[in-house]
Amino acid sequence: MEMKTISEALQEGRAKQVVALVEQALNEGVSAQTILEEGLMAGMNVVGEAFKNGEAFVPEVLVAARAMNMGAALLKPHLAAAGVKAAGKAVIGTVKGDLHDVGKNLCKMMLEAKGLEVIDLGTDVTPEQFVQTAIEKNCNLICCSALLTTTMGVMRDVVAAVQAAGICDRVKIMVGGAPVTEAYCQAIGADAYTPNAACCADWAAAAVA
Amino acid sequence: MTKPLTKRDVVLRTLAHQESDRIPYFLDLSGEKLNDMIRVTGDPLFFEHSDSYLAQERNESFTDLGNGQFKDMFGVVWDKGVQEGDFGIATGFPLPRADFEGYTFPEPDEKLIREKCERLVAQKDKFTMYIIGFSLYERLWALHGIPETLMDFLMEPEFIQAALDKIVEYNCKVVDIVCQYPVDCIFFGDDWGQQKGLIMGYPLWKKFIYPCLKKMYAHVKKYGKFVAQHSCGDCAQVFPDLVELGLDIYNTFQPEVYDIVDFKKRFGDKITFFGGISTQCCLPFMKPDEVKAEMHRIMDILGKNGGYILAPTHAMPNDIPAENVLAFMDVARNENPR
Repeated sequence: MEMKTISEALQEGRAKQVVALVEQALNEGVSAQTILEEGLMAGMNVVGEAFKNGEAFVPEVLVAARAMNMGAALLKPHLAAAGVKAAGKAVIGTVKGDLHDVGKNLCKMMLEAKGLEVIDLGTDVTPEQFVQTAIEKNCNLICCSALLTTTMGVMRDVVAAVQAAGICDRVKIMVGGAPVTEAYCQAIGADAYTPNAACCADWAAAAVA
Repeated sequence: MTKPLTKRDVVLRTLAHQESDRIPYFLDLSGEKLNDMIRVTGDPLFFEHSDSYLAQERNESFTDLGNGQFKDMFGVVWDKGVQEGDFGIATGFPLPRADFEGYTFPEPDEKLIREKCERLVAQKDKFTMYIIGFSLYERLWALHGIPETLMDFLMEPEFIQAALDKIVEYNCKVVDIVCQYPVDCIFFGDDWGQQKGLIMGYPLWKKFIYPCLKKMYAHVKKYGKFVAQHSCGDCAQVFPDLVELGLDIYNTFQPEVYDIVDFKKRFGDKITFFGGISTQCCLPFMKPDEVKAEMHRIMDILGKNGGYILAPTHAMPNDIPAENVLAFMDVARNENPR
């Protein structure tokens, strides 16, 4: 089977078909890594590019990501058995006081589509939780989201907590969300601001490469 | 001797794209910020004393279930205890799957609507607005979940259409009751905008949201009332559609999102902009004199030839310093015109 078939089904969000095709490919002896990279991730990258270019929108990304997750779940034991390692590791969350998670979840999906392992701390995450997880799980990236002006100030505390923990040399801090800007990112000393989930994944993939 | 203009007259003039000797304004405060302002000023009637030009009532009521849990009129339970100054978070969705099993859409609460309309018409010197918040997409996601709703725009279009039809039917029934009163305007709230672009994208907006707006706006216009639409974020792409549908007032109009000079030029003779003073960039962060200068900049641009109601771009949240609320009021009241 051509991996293009999986990629195309994924781009259209046909989750059940993706699952069936992944099973079929495994039965045909295609390696899990090939299915992941050339089928699932390749399809998700097409959707990510279209999203960045304003040709696809949040609904298209969500259905594709759902198909990706269902396909990837089948591959997980095979990838573990083959010793395939993630490209990098990120801890992600919406900052303390803020419960908005649509943007954060999109970033998580896009990061996974780039082959990163993502530890999702959910919403209302304290600076200490970000730092502790980054240390314990050996993360390369801390990704902070905020929708509100009343909560984005917590990102400054995350930067301070990372500095205090002395892990600046091995962890990059990424920030995003409606009120966040490049200027704000620079003012608080974070490493990167990205304006949308696709750009977030691009920056992260380059940072861990 | 000519009678002095009432507040309502001034708003009607701005809606007719005529300038008056002042720009009508509305002090929009979150509940928490209002409590803070009452504390700071010692004036328990701080909001009432703002002399705003609009009177608003919302088509909503909540049943207090205790522990910060509140049930809305559609049966959704919101946890308001978890995040200050916001709507709260839905604890579960009545339509978890793409069907209506076990769920009956509510009828409008006629008694509540009539009470609210009575309160509005008692303020006839002001321009009166009846607000139907969560009017389409937001009502849908409150019932079905945000990611589920967005995905089902693509995967379960018949369910989405059927649900939107029921929501429109509900809204139109509310309008039928409200329009028995001399209320000036029906205000629909529905957030479609992200910081950049529409969350569902233009094609899905046009396919699903536009036909609903067409029905609802026409229904309101049938009664000879004004129509206002609220959406946070970037709805630039749908402005030509909103103009075509005869929208009178657009709120919130965030200056960090729109090129306000360009939009005033392109749409300013057709739509009245309501908002414009940023709660994202200006009010929480600037010093009072900077707030005043920014307000004058926006008022100069948007107030030209009428078509502007001065207001913050959102109910002011609690990160806005009290001095900046007072600066806003000082300009609205005393430096208007400059």
